[in-house]
Amino acid sequence: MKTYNILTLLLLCCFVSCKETINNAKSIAERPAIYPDYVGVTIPANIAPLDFCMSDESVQLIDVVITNSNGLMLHTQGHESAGIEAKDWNELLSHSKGDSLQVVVSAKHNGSWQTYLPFSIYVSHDSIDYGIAYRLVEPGYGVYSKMGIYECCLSNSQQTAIIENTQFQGCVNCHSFNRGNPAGMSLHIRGAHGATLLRLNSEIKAYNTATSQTLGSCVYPYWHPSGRYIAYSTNTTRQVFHVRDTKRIEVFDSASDLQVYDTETNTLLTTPLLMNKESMETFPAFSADGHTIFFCVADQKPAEDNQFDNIHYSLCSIAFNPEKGTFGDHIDTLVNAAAMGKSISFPRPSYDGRYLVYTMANYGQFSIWHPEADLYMLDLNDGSIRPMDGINSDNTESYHSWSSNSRWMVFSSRRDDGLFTRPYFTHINDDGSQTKPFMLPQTNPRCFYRDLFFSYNVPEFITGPVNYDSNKAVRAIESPERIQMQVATR
Amino acid sequence: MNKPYSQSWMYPAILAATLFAAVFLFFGLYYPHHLHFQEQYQLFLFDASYINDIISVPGGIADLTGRFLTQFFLLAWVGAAIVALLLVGIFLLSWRISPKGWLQPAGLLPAIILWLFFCNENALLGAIVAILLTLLADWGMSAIQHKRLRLAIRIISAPVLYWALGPLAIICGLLPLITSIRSRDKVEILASAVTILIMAVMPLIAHCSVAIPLERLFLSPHYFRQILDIPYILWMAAATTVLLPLLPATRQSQWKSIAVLALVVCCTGYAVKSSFNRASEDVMSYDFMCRFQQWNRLIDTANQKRPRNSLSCTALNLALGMKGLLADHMFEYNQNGLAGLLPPFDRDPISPLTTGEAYFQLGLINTAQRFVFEAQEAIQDYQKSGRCYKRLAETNLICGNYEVARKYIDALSKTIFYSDWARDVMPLLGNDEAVAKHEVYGRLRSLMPDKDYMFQEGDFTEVLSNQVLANGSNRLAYEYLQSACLLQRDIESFVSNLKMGDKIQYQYMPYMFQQAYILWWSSKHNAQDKTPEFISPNVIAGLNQFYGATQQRPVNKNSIAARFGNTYWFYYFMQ
Repeated sequence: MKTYNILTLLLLCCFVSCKETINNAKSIAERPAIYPDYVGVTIPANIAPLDFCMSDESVQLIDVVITNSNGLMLHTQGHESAGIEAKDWNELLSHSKGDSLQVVVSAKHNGSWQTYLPFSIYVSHDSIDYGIAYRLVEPGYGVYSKMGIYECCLSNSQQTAIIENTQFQGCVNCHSFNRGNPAGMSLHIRGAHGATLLRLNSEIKAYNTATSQTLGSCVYPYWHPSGRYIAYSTNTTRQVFHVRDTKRIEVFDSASDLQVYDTETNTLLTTPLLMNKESMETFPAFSADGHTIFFCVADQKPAEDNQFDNIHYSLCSIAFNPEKGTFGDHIDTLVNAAAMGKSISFPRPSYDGRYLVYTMANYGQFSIWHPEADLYMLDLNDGSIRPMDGINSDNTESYHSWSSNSRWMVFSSRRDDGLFTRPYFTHINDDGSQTKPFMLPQTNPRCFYRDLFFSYNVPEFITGPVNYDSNKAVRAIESPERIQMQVATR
Repeated sequence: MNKPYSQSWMYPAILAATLFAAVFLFFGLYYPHHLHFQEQYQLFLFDASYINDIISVPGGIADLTGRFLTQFFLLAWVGAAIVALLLVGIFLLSWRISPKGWLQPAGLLPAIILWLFFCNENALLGAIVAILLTLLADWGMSAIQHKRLRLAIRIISAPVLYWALGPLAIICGLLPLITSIRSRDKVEILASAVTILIMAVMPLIAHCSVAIPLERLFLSPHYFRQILDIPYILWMAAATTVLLPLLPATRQSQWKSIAVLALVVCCTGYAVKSSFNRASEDVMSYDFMCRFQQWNRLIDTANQKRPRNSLSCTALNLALGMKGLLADHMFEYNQNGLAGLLPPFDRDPISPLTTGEAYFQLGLINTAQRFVFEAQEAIQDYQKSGRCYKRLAETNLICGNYEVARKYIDALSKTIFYSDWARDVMPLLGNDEAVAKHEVYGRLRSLMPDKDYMFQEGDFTEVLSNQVLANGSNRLAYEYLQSACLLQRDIESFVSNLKMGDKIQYQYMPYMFQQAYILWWSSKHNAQDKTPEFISPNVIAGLNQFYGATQQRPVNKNSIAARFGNTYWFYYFMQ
């Protein structure tokens, strides 16, 4: 370590001539306002450099010194952003697990330097998964332009396309993996070549999921931990538009049901309990042990009434027997949000079976357009509920996904500008508390995010590169052949 | 001794000048709005990642150059000059490869076919640039005297040319192949074949790294806005270029040369006339005038030739409304029912723009935003639009979504033609007071609905009623509301809404409203009853004459149209 420190110092000396020396800096008795706000965040040791800009865009030069408790130091200067080198950053983090980094920021305003109070970045012992997969789509209404499913490696922020709609005619949505393992993947294609693509054992097959006994095509997916089953909802969806509100659009269901697809028998397993005409069931999720399906239920309203603001989903569950592919004989209500005048969406249990996180808004199920939507945590051991105050903001928090070790959570939020959804990461501590979230790191983040007119839709952790043969997928999409799913009522 | 003129530089120069003048005048005088149309469906940014995205796919350099030049189409005469210059360049390079003799005027054909190609509003300038640069590259390579070096460069440059110019670069392999077959130079033939083979394989290689279907990589990576269509006429131009050297060299013959030229000119005239789409140019002109709020010019244009298309009617009705003439004069023009006032949303990139202008002026800012956003999303080749970005910035400014507005304004500040506007509105960001004081945005913000409700297509009268009640000074909304009732022949609602006019102090009784009112009044009263004072005696007399004319047998609709075609009564009973 000593040798390393000396080498670092020597290297610093070599590079010091390239950096402007800070003279007569005025001390500012507050922490710097930076974009993204990384002050006091907790990060994994395998995360890409947290490059940042000063919130004040008139700053001419940024000087950043990051030190760990052993005195290992990283010094960088940049004009638009700190410009942290990946190599230096990775080296620093690899020696700082469980440590806290002290960050000293100086900024040059109108030719003179100001040095701010240092702030900390905590480096967790818990590593984060390889990356996230998400859809990039413009936050629009009904028409879509270019979009695609992409993956981003979290250790270097490199983005790779999994499949893009420029390769065929249609739209892509609802990518899903089994606990982040990209070996199994479900993906929907909408449009002229509509299909559900399933990758099982590296083979990509196109399915027709609509049957005469179900409402229509499968929509929201969730994999069973065994990989054999995928729970899907089927939804009849409508849209209406606000003339004044910042919500702009309401997307709501006029009917929805649940079924479980058995990949071994090509059968959609259903039960009358999940196809109730009086209620709408949606957003299924298997428990960690695979013996329970969590889902959301609301009373069905007459479609023509447009009573979308009177639709309230509660969190419910039903038993599931993975050996026999059968369902329990009753539905349990876990959180009666309807009684609170609230509505739940996206129940996501942690893979260690400890917690379940869901989104709660004032009504409906399309929470991404609800600024009041926040994340809540249900303790599956004692049934207690708490708002995730550590990560909620004044704007929308919506979709969320657990890392494979159930220590990190990625969630989508519109806190940045009120419209374009960005992925944020938080560490979930043993007691369920959350650390201050940080936005997906990028080089020169202000430039990156300001120039990006896409939303990060449905961020899902992945444990490795997806390696999806998109050309093969396109051949399956454009082929008229579809495997027809069958239905069996249990 | 005088050189025959066809062998001197004079002859191609005269042809080039003529071609330039013809193309320049055609696009400048007769087709300017096709150029504006091209400009509004792209947004050229001086931005490294934007440029990188374009050049990282086959045909990227041609595409980038085309997009760069297309931004100048906002100024139609500059655009016309650009198109003319490109076509002249292609002509001169084609002339070089055309065999000498009286058939040499056939060298005009590639440029002329490309002219026809560009009459289609979805043809992209990048395609023309690709052919020009391909011919330039061929010229440059054929000028290399050292044979081995020339052949080596030809082979080595093949993948580069494919990547820069797209599949049209194959011209660079086919031209030397044809020349070498004629000269029976085996080495040249082999080198050309290798060049062609490389270019034929390049799409397969590119397919592994870019998200573009294989057939597009072979035929049209980005030569045509409707990306699923193959632009056959473009490939016809390319084929003609390649086939030119196959024409036989002939002896000079002034008369034959003139005859060939005359034939080319006649065929060109006929083909351009056939490709000329007057109807779409008219629709584009109305949309252009609507975009730049040239209300007087728009009304003057309509006065010269009555628009019949729904979109043109939408633009005209908006112009009439903005000039305070709608309620007096709308039925003097052809009306297409409600679809000519506020057309329903269509998932295309054209109609929502004009309709969005109407919603914008009515103060329905969220709806205007939705229409323009969807129009941009519907652009077939996934490009963005300067016009749409600007409007999205405006709607977000008015709604107070400053951080979202900032994104669009930032992007526009990286352009040539929108950066001044972006600089001007930048101080409005985050400044409610400045927006409120802004002549346009402040007024439109005050017209926004005071409470939220859901916009329902087909329920325009309720939406417009809400607009009127939200802000009594929204004269346009009131006139649109009443016009919507009249267009739907719903006179009962029209009469009922007049009370709303009293409430907002709309004290004037426009001419068309008088016509509608007297129609309603006459159905409820006897002829002896005293007509309301706000109805002009001329209107009462006019209705009596109209009834008289319609009671004559046989009914002569043309004659009635000639006398009463500009009245609401004619619309109500006979349209």
